[in-house]
Amino acid sequence: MSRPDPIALLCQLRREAEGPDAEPRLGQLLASSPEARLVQLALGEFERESEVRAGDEVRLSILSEQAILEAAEPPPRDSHVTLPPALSLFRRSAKARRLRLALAVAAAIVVMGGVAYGLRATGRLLGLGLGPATPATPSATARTPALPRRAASPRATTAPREPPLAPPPSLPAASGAPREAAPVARPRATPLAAPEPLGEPRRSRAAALFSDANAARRAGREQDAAALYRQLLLAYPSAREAPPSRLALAKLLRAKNPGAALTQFEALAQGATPFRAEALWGIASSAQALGQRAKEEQALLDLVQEFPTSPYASAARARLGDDRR
Amino acid sequence: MLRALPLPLTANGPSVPHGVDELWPLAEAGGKGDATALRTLLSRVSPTLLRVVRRVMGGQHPEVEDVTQECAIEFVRALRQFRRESSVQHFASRVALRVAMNARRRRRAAKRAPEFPTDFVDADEADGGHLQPDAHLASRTAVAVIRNLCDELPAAQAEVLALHCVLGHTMSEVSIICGAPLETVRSRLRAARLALVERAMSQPLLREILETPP
Repeated sequence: MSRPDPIALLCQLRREAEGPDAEPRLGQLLASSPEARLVQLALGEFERESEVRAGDEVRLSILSEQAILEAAEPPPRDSHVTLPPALSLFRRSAKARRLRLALAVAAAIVVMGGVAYGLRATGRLLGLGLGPATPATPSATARTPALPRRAASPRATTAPREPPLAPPPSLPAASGAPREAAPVARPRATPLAAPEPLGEPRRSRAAALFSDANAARRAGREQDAAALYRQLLLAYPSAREAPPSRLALAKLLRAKNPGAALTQFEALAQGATPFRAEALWGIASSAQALGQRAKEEQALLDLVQEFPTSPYASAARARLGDDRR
Repeated sequence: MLRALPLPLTANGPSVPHGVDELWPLAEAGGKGDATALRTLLSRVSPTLLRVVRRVMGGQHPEVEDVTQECAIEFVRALRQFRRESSVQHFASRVALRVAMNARRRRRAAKRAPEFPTDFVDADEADGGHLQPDAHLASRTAVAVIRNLCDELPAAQAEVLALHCVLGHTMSEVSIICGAPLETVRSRLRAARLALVERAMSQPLLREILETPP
């Protein structure tokens, strides 16, 4: 019979470390095998590097939710087009996804610019007054000088500038530009001239805020992170990043301010949220910290009833059992 | 030339007895697109994904979160091809290992310098903890040697070496995870071990450990 591989034996003995004779055998192996000593040394370090850290729970919930969203997109390998290996590798990288997003944004800008130019030309032809030559509200242009300048192009110095237009309803009211005096003569231009800066769509700003907030949280700057999450929730309440932001904010608040955390968890639990189980668990924990037994028990009961197979459910059942004892 | 490890996983190795893994029903439902099952399943396996990525990339590596997310996406997509040939945790572990090793290989192929040294030992770190500074330095060196070797070995050997020396799986587990016969795994490990010893002997600190019994 061949001599067992020292590395394989080491892994086996480390696994059986609780056994009565595992420790002396491990000692013998380490004394006799240099490779085993080397791997033992490395495995200890690998274990230290992969220890659970504060914030892992939130980090993983956010990552999981994003993964479910991304994996829901039709996977490229199921398509009938087979890409060469180099491209399929590129396709899988996170950077490739960001590049695709940037390309999509650039394409959207080009299309919007073309349509806007076409409409303006049509308006001029029909005499609809789309420029300062026939200003419907001259003061409105003066009040909002920053918006049209952002789309600076060689044409901007010679062609008439777009007057300010109202933002889409989903944007927050505090974007700075006055909303009155929308001219009646150019209703079709409204969707083309939203006050968002070109090249920086709403989705990417929410994503950027989310990314900054996560970076602050990872760096231990909890107050900055909480402020950024709040800013995101205020500015983009319907963004894809809003639910994970609320969850992260609630978890940040839980230790020092369970009342505020409870408010956030309750808001998160409303409606069809992917984080309802986490929210209910958070409500129960925060209510417990605040001594609100009835609310805690109700949240645990909801959790067990709505998510019987969730990992939280068994813990909730245990807590309910303890409470009723 | 560095080549990416193949995905998806279609192994034909020793199977795990049916009814052993409580996550199988969730994996099956998740593979059919049940979002609730996927969410619950990911809550169970995502710590494994993160652990594997931290071990392969380095605990402080700036791309750990990106790569973990990539692992989660690949895991969800690969569930459609999951044939209960291993436990779900082992399956997740292998997906994460391949994605993380591919990420490292991509970095090397692109000849990108790391944003900051991830395998360094600074004075504070060496001073703290329960290890002596020299032992800590030696263990960090051993880790760096194994990671670099996994980047350079042929894919099959690198996978077996990583499953053993990075994740600490036993031989039978590696056989199940890789879907390869035990003898094949043993032979791959033997080849990888020779390369490991040769590489370690070139590091003075590690040579001392290799040549001096405790």
